[in-house]
Amino acid sequence: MMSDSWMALYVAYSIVWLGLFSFLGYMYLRQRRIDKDIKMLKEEVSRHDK
Amino acid sequence: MRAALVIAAKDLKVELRSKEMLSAMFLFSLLIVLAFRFAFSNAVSSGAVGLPELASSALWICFSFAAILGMYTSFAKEKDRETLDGLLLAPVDRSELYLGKALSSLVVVFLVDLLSIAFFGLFFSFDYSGQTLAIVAIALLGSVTLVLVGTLVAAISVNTRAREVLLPILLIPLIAFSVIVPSVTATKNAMAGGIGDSVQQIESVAAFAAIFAVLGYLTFDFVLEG
Amino acid sequence: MMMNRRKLGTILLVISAVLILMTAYLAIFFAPLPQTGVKSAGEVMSSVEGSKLQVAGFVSAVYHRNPNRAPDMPEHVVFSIADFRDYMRYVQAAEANHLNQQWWTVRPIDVDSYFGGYVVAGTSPDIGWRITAGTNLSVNGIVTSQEIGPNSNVTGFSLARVSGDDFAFGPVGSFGLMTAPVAQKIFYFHMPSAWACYLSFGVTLVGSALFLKTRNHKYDRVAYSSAEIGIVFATIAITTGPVWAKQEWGVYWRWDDMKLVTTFVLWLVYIGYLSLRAAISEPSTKARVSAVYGILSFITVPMSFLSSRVAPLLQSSHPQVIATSSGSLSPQAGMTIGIAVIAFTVLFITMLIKRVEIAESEEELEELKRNIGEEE
Repeated sequence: MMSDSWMALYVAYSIVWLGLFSFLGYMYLRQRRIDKDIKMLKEEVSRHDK
Repeated sequence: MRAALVIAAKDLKVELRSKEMLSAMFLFSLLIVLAFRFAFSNAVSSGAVGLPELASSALWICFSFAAILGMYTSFAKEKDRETLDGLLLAPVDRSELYLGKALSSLVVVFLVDLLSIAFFGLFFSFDYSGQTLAIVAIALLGSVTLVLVGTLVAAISVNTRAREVLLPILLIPLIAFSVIVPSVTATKNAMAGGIGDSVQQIESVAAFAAIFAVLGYLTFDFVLEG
Repeated sequence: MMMNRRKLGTILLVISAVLILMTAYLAIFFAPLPQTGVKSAGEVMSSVEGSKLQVAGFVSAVYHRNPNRAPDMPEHVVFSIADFRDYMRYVQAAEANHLNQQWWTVRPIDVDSYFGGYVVAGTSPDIGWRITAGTNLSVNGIVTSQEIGPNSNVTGFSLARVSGDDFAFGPVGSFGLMTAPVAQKIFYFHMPSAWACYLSFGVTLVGSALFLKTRNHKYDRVAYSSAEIGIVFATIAITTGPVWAKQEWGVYWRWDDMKLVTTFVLWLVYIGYLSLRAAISEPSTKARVSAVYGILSFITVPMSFLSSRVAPLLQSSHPQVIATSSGSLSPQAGMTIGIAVIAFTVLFITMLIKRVEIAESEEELEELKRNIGEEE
């Protein structure tokens, strides 16, 4: 009977941690991808200009 | 204020001339009450669902969906026929336009409410425990609130690509606890004990009407530019 | 400017990670489980059905150590039950007359600092002592005074020391004290998530209003970034809530509970906000129109927040936390929840900074693409 409650606690804490960290991770990855795109485009522009 | 009445009158005149929207709404309320009649025939006859409870819930579903339909069509038509640009060019305060549209929608929505109440009473052989007037009053107040928020949201959704789908998506969460829940409770209480029991609910709906009116009046301008 | 902000973001991220770890540690090891209230035995029996509450004991009357007691009366006579299952077994056995008026021997209770437990065994005639006159003790605010005589029909137990020399014991049919299941500790993340969610949507409101006033797109970026973050926090609150509820109430969800449904509607409204933005392609229209909706949708926030407080209009079995009943949170719990709220606030700021940065980078990218498109 007691372990049921502990299980619930673990599940809830996992939801919190996984939720927060996956969102943060997603944000960091997205930022990296955008930075890469920007750099690529800027290089293309400078090559184009030359 | 005057401009709002003029706009409302113009809308209604157009409606009466074409009878397009009115006949659609007549049919709509008829058919939706019929749908309830068929869907609940077993439940009602076996006594599982009490008629007052069913009436309060079913009627408010009818009112809400009729309002959604009505408000969407009023804006979509304008945008499609580009009469909206004409309205915007006119030297009319945009907020007056908001009130005018809300008022004309209210007339139509309230008419549909009355029709639904009548049809429901007819098809379910229900006399509303003698409280028909109270129910009509609650319907009117709720419809005012529905129309005040609905006109704003309809104007918002008309800017989008998926306007038919978006109006309900945007509107229903907003009206759920501001209009639907208090009105259903008030209607049920009115049938059970008289409208005096529902003072809190009525105050709540009225408060939301005021909030929506103020918000709509202040922000309508921003929705219709461009 | 960008580099400084990135550094700030990283520092804040580290701070919030530390604070959240601290919260988790405090929640599990430091914060005590609250007593969820004193109820009559009848209420206890009907409310524990399906839930995982532990019944800590029953209190019904107080016995002061009486110097004038009969010489054969021992000094401390107390009974305690370890948990509800024991009590139920006792009641069933007593009803079936298996016990022959013999008391159950039980183990000590381990509740918390208020009450301790003792082990006693005895037969019912031993219990028939008179309680000294004038015992009007209030236990958790409930005044109780009863006399138990030799012919009293005693079917229950009691707790031990209330304070000093006062002990509580006596017939059941009076009160039960319960502690929350361990899952209650979910509260220390559930409530701050809800708080962060309200904060985020408040920022969306302010951002939308400021955008409409100044037409500066940075406010629009803050508004929709904050809305996204608010939805993340709301999702966390709405998913951890049912996990906790299953343990405390026995069900995952209750449609007639106002707090739950208004919060769900809140979640839907802001999903609608993001859908609205997705459905408009022209950027200035998108910002303008969604700002209006962003202001309008904020009405669902006070509806959600106040739903567990406005008692006559709406009802909820959702616990009220902030300063409603005196002593509803013990100091350790208060400290833990305080740190948790700070942690989530810092986390919100971190996430907002990061997300706004992404928004700006995306717009920069769009700008670049458009420029290249124009040149060609």
